[in-house]
Amino acid sequence: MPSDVELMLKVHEGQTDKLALLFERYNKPLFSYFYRYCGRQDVSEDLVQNVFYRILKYRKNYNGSGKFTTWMYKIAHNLAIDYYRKHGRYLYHDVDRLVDEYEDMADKTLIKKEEIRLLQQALDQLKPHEREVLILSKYQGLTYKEIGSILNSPEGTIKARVFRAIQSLKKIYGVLER
Amino acid sequence: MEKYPLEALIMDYWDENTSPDNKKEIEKQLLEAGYSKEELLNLKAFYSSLDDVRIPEPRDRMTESFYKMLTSEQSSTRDKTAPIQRLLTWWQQAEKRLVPKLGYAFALVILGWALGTWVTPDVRYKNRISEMTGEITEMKEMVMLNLLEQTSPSKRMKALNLVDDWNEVDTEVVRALMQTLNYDPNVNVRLVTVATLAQFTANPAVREGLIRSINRQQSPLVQLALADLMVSLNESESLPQFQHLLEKKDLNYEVRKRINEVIRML
Repeated sequence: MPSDVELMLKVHEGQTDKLALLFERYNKPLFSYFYRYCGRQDVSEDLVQNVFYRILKYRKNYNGSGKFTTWMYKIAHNLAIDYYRKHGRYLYHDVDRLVDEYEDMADKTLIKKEEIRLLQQALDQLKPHEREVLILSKYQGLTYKEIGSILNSPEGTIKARVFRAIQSLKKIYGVLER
Repeated sequence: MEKYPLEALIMDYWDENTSPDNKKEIEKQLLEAGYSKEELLNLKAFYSSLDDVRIPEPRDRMTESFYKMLTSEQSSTRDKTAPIQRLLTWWQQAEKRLVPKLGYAFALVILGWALGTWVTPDVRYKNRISEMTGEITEMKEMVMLNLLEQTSPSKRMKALNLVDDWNEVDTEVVRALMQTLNYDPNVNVRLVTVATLAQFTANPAVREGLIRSINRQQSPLVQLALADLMVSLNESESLPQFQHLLEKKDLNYEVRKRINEVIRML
């Protein structure tokens, strides 16, 4: 199976059909990133599309020297920032939908469901930069080094930022719980 | 080496891949900094609980939109690059075969250009000038002939003035001028016609016409003008005409006297 870098280098050379393979690999992780960031399904789907559009448009800028996902998430990060600047005040999830709509939530206790509802509300109230480091580390599974490359910060700074984000989230959760 | 903030150590402390020795060292530092072990465990459990926050799957429309976008971009790129690509491919295939031929062709083009620049425009220019001159001459002739047929003597005089600017006259103009010289009712017009024809005496037809006209003129002024012209031309061919004129009994005295002088001179 060709690696991400191999595929992207082929896209770089003009074999744009190879972008479809990268899309199949990363459309869900990217959707997850945007959805957890902005809370809107339609917007997240559009932003995923925009990421791949930009990958295609700026394919000549990719030289294969770094991980493809780092480059891809940099593009995603820039789109998320742009979106936040324009629509920041609307960044709230439909918490009830998240808790009630999914089948795998059926077997959860009411207490657990409430905890999840409060967690999402707390996440929505986090500052965007704190929310983003949590998303990238917790949900996207990126290493601190990779997150550092995406956000142009040293690895240690990212680790500290993640911890502070957890602390902030816990505080918000505590307030919501009361 | 990067100096980690203290909080960064906590993430290493929670990391499953950190060695037990490192964990002990970090734990020691954190306890010294005021963090309790219980607090850190609570936070870690809280952090783990984030795994329970689920999100929906993207809808099929996202995939459909992506493939539409990709197809559209590929078509657009193909449209833009296809002619260039075809040209490049053709050139790569034909380069070796065509380069010498193109060299010769280029040299021929340069030669053609040089000839075109140095020769053709000049010839064309001259041809065009010649054409235009011919057209203007034809137009002037037409105007002159038309004026010469007018009933007004002044207009016929004007026609004769037009001829003054010409360097040569064709047969038709000579015929028209001779017609005027011999038959125009106005003496002044006939006199001016003599002067006009005097400019073209290099033309044998004009000379012959002038000579023949001597005996057709009734006006003493025209007879005298023709006599003077023949003298200036030293035209001996006119002698029979003058001798024949002297035979006319009603010939003007002054004319007779002048013709006798002319005959002697010629």
